[in-house]
Amino acid sequence: MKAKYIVSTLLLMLSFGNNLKAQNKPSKENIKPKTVLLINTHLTYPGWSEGKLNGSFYNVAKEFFLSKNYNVLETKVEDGYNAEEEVEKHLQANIIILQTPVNWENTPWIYKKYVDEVFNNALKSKKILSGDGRSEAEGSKQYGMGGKMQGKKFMICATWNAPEESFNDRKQYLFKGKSADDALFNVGANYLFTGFEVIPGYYCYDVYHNKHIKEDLENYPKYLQKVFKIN
Amino acid sequence: MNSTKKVLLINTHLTYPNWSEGLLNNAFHQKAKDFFLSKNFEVLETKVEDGYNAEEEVEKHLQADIIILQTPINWFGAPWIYKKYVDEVFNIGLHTAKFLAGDGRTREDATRQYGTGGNMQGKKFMVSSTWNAPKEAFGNQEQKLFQGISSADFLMHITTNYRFSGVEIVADYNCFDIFKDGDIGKDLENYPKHLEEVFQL
Repeated sequence: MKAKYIVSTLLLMLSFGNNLKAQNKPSKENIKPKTVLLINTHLTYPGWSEGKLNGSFYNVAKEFFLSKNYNVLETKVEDGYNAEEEVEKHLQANIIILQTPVNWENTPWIYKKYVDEVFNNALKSKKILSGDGRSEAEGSKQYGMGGKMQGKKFMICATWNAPEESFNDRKQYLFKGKSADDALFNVGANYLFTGFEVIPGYYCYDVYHNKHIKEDLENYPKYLQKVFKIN
Repeated sequence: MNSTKKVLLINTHLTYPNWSEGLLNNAFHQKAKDFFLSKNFEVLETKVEDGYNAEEEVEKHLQADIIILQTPINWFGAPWIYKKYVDEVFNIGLHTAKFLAGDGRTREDATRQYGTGGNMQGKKFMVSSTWNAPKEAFGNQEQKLFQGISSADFLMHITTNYRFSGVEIVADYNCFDIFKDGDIGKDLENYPKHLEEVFQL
């Protein structure tokens, strides 16, 4: 155990040394392109919800990250996926964005299926977490601190039937003062559990009344730029 | 007219062979069933994993005075088969206007709030869940994961659909820390008392 620690410290020092050298002599090979994983989990209901709006937000994000020279990985849950490949995509990505409609107060069921399958795979292979954080080996007493994905960021972009006024107001019957982020906390929780930072979501409300969809699409790149601190 | 009260017990455990066989969720489901039978309720049951007919599930919801969801917490929610059940059953409840007549807002009355279009007033919904998370992870600002929220706050993504349909949500019952330090025996034993209290039986 101790030997392992010394070796990894040595490796860390060596790589740090390389970084210093790299800083002295900047060259193109040393600038590693950043990677974003865009997950679109819209579920089609023919004649009712065809996924155009979620497709639009998804494309705005994709174009934004391409314009910033990001490597873009994509998953359309409805079209199928391989759980092991999805774990690898999570390991590669610096940023993960979930594009989702809100169906019955949460993501469509195909997303929870995706999560159960992908995160189960990652739990067994210990690739994105070592446990729930409470074991001695994990060196932490708190529940939920066993993640290995520190430094990565997760964000939700969601389309709602709910109007913005139904959130953050104690006088509202349904959400009783809770925020939209609170309502979707369960989705981000898996990412918190695996060490990600969860960024406040970007939300397009009241979509059936179509009052500000255009503005919400227009303002989306600015939001991405701000929350991910991209120049 | 003293008609028999009805309870709908939904068990949404999903079997993972040799990992999660569902014995614990079955035990809680059975506890609730015995309790309501002893109180002369008619018991309706659904085991999501065994399949269901969404239209029949809507009818069961309409008949029931009390609905209880028995669920393990897998990846911070019910197993995926439950969200599939909800999407299918509530979509029918919406299209037939049996659960709700829209989201409550009307053109005529701007003061009508979002989420007040439910048709199921007078019914009650409760979640009984089994967790790997320990009790201490909740209701404490110093906890990094849940950041002070309660189990009821956490389960909001499940209970809100019932609120949206006009159903009253009663206090959840939780069996925490099941793989490590939890006291499963005590939690099972105390379950009927909780049911008695929240449903005033």
